[in-house]
Amino acid sequence: MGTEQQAGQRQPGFRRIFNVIATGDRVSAVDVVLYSMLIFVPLAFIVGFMGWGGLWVFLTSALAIVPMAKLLGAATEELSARVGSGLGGLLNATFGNATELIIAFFALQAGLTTVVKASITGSIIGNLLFVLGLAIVAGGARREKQTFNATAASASSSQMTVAVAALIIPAVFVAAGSTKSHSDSVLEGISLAVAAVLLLTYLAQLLFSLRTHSHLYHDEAVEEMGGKVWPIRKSLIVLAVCAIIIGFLSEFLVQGVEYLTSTLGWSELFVGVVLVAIVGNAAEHMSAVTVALKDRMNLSMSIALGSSTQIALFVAPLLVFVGYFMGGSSQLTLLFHPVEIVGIVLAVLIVDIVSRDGESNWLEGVQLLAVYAILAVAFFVLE
Amino acid sequence: MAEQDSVQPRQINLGSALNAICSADGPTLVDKILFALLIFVPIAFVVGFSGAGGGLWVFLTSALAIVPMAKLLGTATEELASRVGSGLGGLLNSTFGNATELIIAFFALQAGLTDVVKASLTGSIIGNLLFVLGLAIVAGGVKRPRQTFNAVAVSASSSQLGVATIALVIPAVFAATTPAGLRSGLVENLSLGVAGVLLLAYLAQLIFTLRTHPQLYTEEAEEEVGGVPWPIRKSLLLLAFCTIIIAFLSEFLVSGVQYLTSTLGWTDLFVGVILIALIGNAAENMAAVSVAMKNKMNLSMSIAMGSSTQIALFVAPVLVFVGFFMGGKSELTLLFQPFEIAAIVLAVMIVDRIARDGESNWLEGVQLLAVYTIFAVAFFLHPLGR
Repeated sequence: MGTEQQAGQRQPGFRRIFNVIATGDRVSAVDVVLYSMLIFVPLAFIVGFMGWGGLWVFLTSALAIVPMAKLLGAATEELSARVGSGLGGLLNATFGNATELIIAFFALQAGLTTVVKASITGSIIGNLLFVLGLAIVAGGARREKQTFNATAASASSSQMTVAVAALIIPAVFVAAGSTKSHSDSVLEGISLAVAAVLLLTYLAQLLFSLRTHSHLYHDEAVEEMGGKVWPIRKSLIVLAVCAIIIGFLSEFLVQGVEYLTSTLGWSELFVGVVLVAIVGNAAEHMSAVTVALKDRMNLSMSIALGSSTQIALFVAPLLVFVGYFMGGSSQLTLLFHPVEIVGIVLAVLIVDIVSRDGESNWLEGVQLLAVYAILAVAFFVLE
Repeated sequence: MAEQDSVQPRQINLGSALNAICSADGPTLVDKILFALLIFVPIAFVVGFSGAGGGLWVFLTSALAIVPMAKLLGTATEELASRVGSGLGGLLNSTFGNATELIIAFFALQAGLTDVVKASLTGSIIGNLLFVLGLAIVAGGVKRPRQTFNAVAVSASSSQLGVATIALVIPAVFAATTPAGLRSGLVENLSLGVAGVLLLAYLAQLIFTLRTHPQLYTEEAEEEVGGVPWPIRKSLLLLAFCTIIIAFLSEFLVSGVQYLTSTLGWTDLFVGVILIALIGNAAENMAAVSVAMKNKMNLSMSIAMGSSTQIALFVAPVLVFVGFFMGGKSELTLLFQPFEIAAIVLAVMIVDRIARDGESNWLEGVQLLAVYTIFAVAFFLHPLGR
């Protein structure tokens, strides 16, 4: 009887973690995968503190961040469901990219500004090309075609265009200016100003989606919710614990990145654009693919496109300000490498072409993946 | 009686040669012109081997001779394809559809004319999009208020072209932003990687059109086939025969090209983008125009745009690998001149603009031709290719 009770008590505790990760009402295959990846969290700590080789540090911390990011996202959603739609939407939007922000923070601290910028690029083109491409292929593999709301997709497109303009201007400025205008302080001034404009735009977008035109986004938000809502205290505790753990894991990840670039000689651009970006956005990847499999293409597109715009309008400018206050080698400008800029512009263009008709089939997904692969090859070869 | 017997076989031979060129139900005006052009095949051989009349004549006769041979090769491929079932047949059709371009490019690569080869790839893409489509829209629209076509199918082609454009843009951006000292070997590696991705994308497209979504394309495929299919042996023989002849003609053509660029001082860009591309795609040109005149705009658009995507997704990457195995001066990268890239991007954009509404009229065709002419003038004058 005593042992049975013990087992009975242990199981709910065990299950509670499970429920945190499980989306909605049913445990899906993705949830099981994420759940089993939690094993990498202790592994990453052991490998990280013992310092067993850079490659292993990178791999274990990368794999450990994925389920933690999902947990953090779940806690944010639960919290925002409690506090009402206005503040809740703000929370969701702000903490939706908390993982990327934390990773970038530690990378900035280590002075890896190229990697941080590359991971911003990578998050944008990764969401537009890799995530959306995978989702369209996965959803379209057994269907002739899938449909979605072309108007919503085109609204995202115009937001992305604003972001693209912001990311291009500093590079054009440097390319067009004389050597005098190259001076760092001028570039920093421009970056800060552009970042401020982007944050204001982001604020306008929040007002639009949460206040003045909330009905446009209503049905998607409803789809996402499911199951019982947590008490506020539980959400806050999970949120705090996840943020701290991700902080440590990010520190390990950054060590691993330094190993990859300095010892293995991989280009910083490739590591940032492809590897770090995939790690930071893995949770979004999985949910976009999962809902595409269920033929909910509207939600899938809004996850992928929404994540891209958030990175560009919120994460990137915020990091500029963070870098400014950290100072020294952490100072971040919005001066991107020309290949990054071309990559972002082309990604926005091709997504616009593919999504304009409101229909998708698996070939279109393959096309997005092909563009992603081409860009990845270019970043890998780049010195 | 004996006299009649000896006459008849010749007539049949002549007739079957005509039939080989004819599409479907009967000899059209286009077929007759193509048939008449066959006369240039022996002339090209005589001029080519004797060198009579110099490089200009070598170029002209071999160019004119390639046009009907390309058509014959295409017919043999189609006949063979209709025999072997739709899956393998579709594969054959799309692979050998650009055999002429591939053969010409092969010999040009062997002669080390990589700039001309790249320019001919550019020219095939913009030529199909602007010149072929422009001519087809004008020819089809001249006696009609407007013509309609399936905008969805066109938009699918547009997105394929988008992928191809990106593949051609990236190496140039890459090279432009890499200091020249660091560049050695990198652009070659990048080109091979990009070519691999393009071939995979092409494979996906084949699976899409032949396996998972053939219903989107059947109506077009049916239109194309007609009459009694040939025996397989006849198709294979003709295929082999045409390939060999085209190979010889391509050699002559390449020596003619060298004359044009070195002696007359024409730019590599102009010769490749305009002349070679027109010759290699002449058969498609005629097919697209003649179906447009019959008001089959869907087919016309799919010939023109399909040919462009095939060049970009199949011919270009295959040539990169071929050049890699030939080595030395034949090595081909996907590093295009910025001016070529601008032309491709603008061509894709203007076609997308014009085709998006699913309707065409002759003025839109003239607009495409105008853009093409502007490019041709610019390529002729551009100092880079000299």
